Amino acid sequence: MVMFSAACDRGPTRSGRNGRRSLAAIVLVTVFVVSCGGTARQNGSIGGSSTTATEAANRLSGIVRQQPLDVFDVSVTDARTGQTMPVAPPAGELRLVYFGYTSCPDVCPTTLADVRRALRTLPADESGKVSLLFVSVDPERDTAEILDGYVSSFVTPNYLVRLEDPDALAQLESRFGARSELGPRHEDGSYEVAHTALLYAVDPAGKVVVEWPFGTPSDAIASDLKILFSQLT
Amino acid sequence: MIRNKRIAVAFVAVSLGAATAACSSGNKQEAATSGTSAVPATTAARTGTTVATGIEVTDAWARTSPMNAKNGAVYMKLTSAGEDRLVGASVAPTIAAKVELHETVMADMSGSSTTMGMGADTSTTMGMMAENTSSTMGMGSSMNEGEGAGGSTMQMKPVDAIELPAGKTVELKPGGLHVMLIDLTKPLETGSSFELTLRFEKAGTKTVTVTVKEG
Ligand SMILES: [Cu+2]
Repeated sequence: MVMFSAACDRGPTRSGRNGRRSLAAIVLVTVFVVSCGGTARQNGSIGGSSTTATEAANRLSGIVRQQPLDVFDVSVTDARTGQTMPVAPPAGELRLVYFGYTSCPDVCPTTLADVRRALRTLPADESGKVSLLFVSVDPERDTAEILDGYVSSFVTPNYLVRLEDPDALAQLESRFGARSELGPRHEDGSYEVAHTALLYAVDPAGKVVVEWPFGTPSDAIASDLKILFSQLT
Repeated sequence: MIRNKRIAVAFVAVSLGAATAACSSGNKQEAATSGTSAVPATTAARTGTTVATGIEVTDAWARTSPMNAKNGAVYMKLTSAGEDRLVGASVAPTIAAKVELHETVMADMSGSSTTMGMGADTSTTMGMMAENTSSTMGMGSSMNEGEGAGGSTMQMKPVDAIELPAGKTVELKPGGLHVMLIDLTKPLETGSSFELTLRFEKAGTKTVTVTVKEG
């Protein structure tokens, strides 16, 4: 694992895809694959049998893939602690994953506020077992400190991922079928980031068990979480 | 939106249970046409200093800004008696450095974009999803087959103006149109309020009180 030293030597000219690529020299490798050969996926899995999975899926409001994405082998570095951690939550818990950025005034805070409201309606023994993994799609502006304050305003506990290497970010995004792209710089140097706006729930077996599109009401998220908890074994 | 990439439907198991929360947003621009009586049209102002009449603004609110947030967004419902356009907005420097009109749109990475009101080419997927998830957009992003990455993302874009058809209520709401507050001077605190001055092409200006709430 290579740690980085200079987060700030990026020129103001960086923009768009090409700019991102040019940053590859600053490497913070955080997404790495622990080969696990497709075994040992059953522990804590939601819907051990296909019948159960189908039934559960039918009751969920969010999007459920017939072949859920599997992120069991994906680990990230928490920007707050520097600790490497699996994306999948511990047994008995659920983890929400969102790709966003703190300068985003509309989509990101709306989604995070929906999550906050959803968690408030869950009984404490369930809401206490939900954590949020927030991956910044704007590591240049989103320092660990900024991320901490921002994300913690909505949901705790949370884990913050800040990948300075655009390829590492793209790789992590791709595991969720997500992506992002920096927009053009405005005169004042600011820019927007286009990003997939789905909220994901990951179970302890590393399955992305549901994907909520932007605008999913908080009560639908809450009700889905309840169903997911009832399916955890 | 690339239709042929959306094998989405086949891969999506949808819920029956959520049908009660049906999507309330058809076309964004028309969805919120409400019963609020439009104020009779009055002489259109020619200068920016005239106080707008014939413009009704309701439910102006901004989300409490999370800690460390640089930017904020203001939402509201706008009704103009006569056809008009919202062309700008401003706040006191004690609130934010700059104000812009923005729209959040779906964009695929090829650069084309559509507004959140779903295009006809996505209606099959969207209709199905909307009915069952009551979501207004964003669905299907990661459902595309083939490249293993979401085909569409959400993105904000500045807009020059927000069209106000005569007598129709246009809703600025999360995921769509908003007045963006750039470089907040201080955090927006729940329960507080501030003044926002809206500038209309024909009707002049109108200052409204924006309530800050958790949202
Ligand atoms: Cu904006």
